[in-house]
Amino acid sequence: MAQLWIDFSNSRPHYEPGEVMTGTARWRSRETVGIAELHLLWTTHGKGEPETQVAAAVRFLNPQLDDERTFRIQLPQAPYSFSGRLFSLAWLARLTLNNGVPFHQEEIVISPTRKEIKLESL
Amino acid sequence: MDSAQTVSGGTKKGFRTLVFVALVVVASIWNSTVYGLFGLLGSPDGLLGTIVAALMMPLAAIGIALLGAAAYIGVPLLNPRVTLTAGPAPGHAGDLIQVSWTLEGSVDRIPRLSIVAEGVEEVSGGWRTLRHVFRRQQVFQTTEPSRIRSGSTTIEIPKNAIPSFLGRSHRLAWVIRLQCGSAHWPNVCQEIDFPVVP
Repeated sequence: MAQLWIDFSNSRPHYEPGEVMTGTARWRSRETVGIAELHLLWTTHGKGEPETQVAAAVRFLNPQLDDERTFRIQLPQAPYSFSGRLFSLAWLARLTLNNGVPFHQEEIVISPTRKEIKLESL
Repeated sequence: MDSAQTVSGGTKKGFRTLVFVALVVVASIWNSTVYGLFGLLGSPDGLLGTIVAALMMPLAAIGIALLGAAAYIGVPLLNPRVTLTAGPAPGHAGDLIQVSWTLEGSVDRIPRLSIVAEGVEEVSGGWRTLRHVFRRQQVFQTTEPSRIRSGSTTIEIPKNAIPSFLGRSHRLAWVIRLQCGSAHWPNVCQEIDFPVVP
């Protein structure tokens, strides 16, 4: 078992495209931690098979059982966080130990308005 | 307009022609075989006649359906050939883009042409594609024959447009569509994806 946390420097993880996202990744594990990574990825949900793509990844070197690391990731210009009638696209920051299990993730928003864009409002 | 930085689409009739010819050939062979068989069997009386009719009716219906399919595929082949171009591409939110069109062939039967800009989301999977238009704006319409034959207009990409997105099976696209409506003729349509970038 392990406990994982992601703390963002911003009070709310809502960003403009291209902005730098900073924060702290923390974990407490009873098993040896070989790999600790923070992934920035987008995922779709709604109709159709969900799609996921990793846009950036940070690997923390020499991770300890009980550890805390800072991260700094430049966010991409696109795609924006949006929701439509058929599908939505959301950005996630995902902290993983030992290639995936366990993991902890937090949804972040990337858009020029720092809010998820509703397609119907365009 | 710089032709190296435009997106364009034109009517492709090659595959449709092939399907049409194949359907005509299959329908001809099928119908001549079925009706030939009808002729050979004649029209027997009584129970035998009922059985023959019951057997032949579905075969005749398939023959009629094949002819219908050939007509459905074949009629649009008589439509004009459409070329639609837009640029400069890619565009950004708020940009002005120029859209041009040319119709070749039997343009006289087209009473009206319109250019429509759409924002669409699409999900494809298996054999079907779901499509939802979240924004639609008619930007140009004409009934003038010379402007139907060829013309151009300017479209402003919405100031709040978000960038196009293309996943494996999910898509968000900005589409420019040319529509030619006629009450007595199938619509002539051509659409192109216009890429919008951050």
